[in-house]
Amino acid sequence: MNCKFVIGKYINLPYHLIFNLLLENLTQIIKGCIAKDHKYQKIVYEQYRGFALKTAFRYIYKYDKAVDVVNDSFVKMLNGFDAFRFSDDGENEKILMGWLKKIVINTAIDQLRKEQMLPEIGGIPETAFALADNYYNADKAVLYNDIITLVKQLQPNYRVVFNLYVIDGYSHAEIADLMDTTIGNSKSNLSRARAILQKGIKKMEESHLCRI
Amino acid sequence: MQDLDNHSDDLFRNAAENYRPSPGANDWDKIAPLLTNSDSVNKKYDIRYKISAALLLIILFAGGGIIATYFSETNSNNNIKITDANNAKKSLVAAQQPENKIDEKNSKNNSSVTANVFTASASVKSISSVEKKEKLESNSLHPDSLTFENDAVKAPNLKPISPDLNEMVIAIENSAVLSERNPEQNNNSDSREINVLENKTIAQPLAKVHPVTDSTAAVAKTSPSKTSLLKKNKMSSRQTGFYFGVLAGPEFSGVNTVRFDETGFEGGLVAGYQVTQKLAIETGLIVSKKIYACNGRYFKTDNISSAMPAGMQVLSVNGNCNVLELPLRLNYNIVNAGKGNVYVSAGVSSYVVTNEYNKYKTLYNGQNKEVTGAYKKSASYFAATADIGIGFEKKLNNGNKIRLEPYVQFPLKGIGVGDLEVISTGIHVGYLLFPKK
Repeated sequence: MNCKFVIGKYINLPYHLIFNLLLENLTQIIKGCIAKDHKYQKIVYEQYRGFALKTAFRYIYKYDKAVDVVNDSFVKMLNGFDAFRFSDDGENEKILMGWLKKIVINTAIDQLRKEQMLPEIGGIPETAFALADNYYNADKAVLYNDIITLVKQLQPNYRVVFNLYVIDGYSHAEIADLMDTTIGNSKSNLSRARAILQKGIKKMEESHLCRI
Repeated sequence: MQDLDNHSDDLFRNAAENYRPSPGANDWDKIAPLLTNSDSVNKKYDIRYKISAALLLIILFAGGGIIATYFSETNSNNNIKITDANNAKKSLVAAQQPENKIDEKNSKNNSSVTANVFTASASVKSISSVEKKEKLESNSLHPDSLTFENDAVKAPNLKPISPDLNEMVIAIENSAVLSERNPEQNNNSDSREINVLENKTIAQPLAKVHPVTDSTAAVAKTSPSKTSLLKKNKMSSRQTGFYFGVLAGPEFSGVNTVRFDETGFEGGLVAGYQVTQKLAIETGLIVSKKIYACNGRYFKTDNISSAMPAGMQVLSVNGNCNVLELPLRLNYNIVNAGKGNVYVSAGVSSYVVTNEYNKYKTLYNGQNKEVTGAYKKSASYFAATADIGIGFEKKLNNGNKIRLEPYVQFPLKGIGVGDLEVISTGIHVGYLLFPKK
């Protein structure tokens, strides 16, 4: 008991303190954003830009356009920060990230609609992806980048449904509502997307084996 | 097949979580100009609030200054009266010195109170009517301090100084001081002796009587019969009865805080009844246009939820509404001068909102959308605002008045489709007609 108490005292307590401090800091940042303080808005932009780009780049084929979508999303979010509702259970960051993700997805879909969901032309340059942190993670990083490239190469309507359903956890009803289609259409688009991706993964595995 | 799907889904989820797009350049400088620059807006509003607060302070100080000026004038008039009374006292003493016998011991011990009594006695004598002489003769007083040898001594020097002094006389005449008499002296009719300071029981009421001389209200308490005549005289100069008028002026409204960037309007008819010299009750029919803007959290969507898409969130509202106001106010004059008066006003206003136009900024599916709403269905709100104001009225030569009244209307309930608690402030400029009797 004493041992647990000591561990709890010297390990858990500082952790909680740090956690609370972080929470307090985030609360302050959110309050600053509600007050439209540019200092805090910049902090939010810089802190969550990577996360937003990661989401947008799955939907938008071109890197530059994905960056534009991210910027538009931040403008929308930061201008409408008054609508943010604080959580009592300390999950403000989750709420904030969920909200940002939703805005990014909607902005990306709007962008695709503007382009009438037409398939994009041209390849994805390697510079669109970041380099691995170290040598040991390099293979994994390449694999993940290749998988996402496969998703990006899907037709826009398949890509959106696949991203929404498989990765972002939307239901078919929500997808149908968001895309102005039927649930059946959403399901069929998903199954076609899956079929294409499985073929792509097989090809990818073969090419990897060839490399070895 | 399902297992394969689940397996590949996990693979894609894992990839989506761990893949790393190039961070690219920081575009904050591009974003910043597109953001609502609330800091500058707040600063702008801060400046406006400071200006409005300064204006309000100026108005209050001006009002206070006017009040102070009037009071100082009143005081200076009183001082003149007191000086006159002192002169009368001196003249009385001068006249009395060769002939009167003054008890030095008593006058030294009670010099201050003696002065009061001098004034009082001087005033008593200033009436110089037969009736009062008779009264004094019948009310023989104590002989210790002042002794008047005969009537001829006191009469010539004691003319009425002012109407107020007459009031003072009445006050003292009716007070207990002079009514306390020594029955033993009733028979001593050769020399009338006024007992000024025989004992404390007499001196105390005198000390109380002195400040009364400055107040006509106290006179009314002490002498109901004679002050009623004075009241009548005063009432004849008052403006009582009904009055009518027109009012108009700019109005600034807002929700939670007043906005001064857009100006509304208020104008209409008023009718009132001057109940007393100080109190008037007033009502009217006023049309106003209230322009407001507020954060979406102040706007209640219950009334329009059926017309709104599910999940739509109102971020902000910019709107205006036309309102028919029915005020009921009490005006209380705090300063009543000959050519003008200053009053404070308090009451409630009932509203009939005749039409409303709102522009909403909304968030729907993560996107900002602008939606407008026009509502022509009228709705009434009893006692929607509590009104307070301070007004200045100037009497014209024809007996009518012009009015300037800064006011504030605090919301008691929400109005319009969003139940917005609209606060308004402005200045009424008006012309009031007082029908001649």
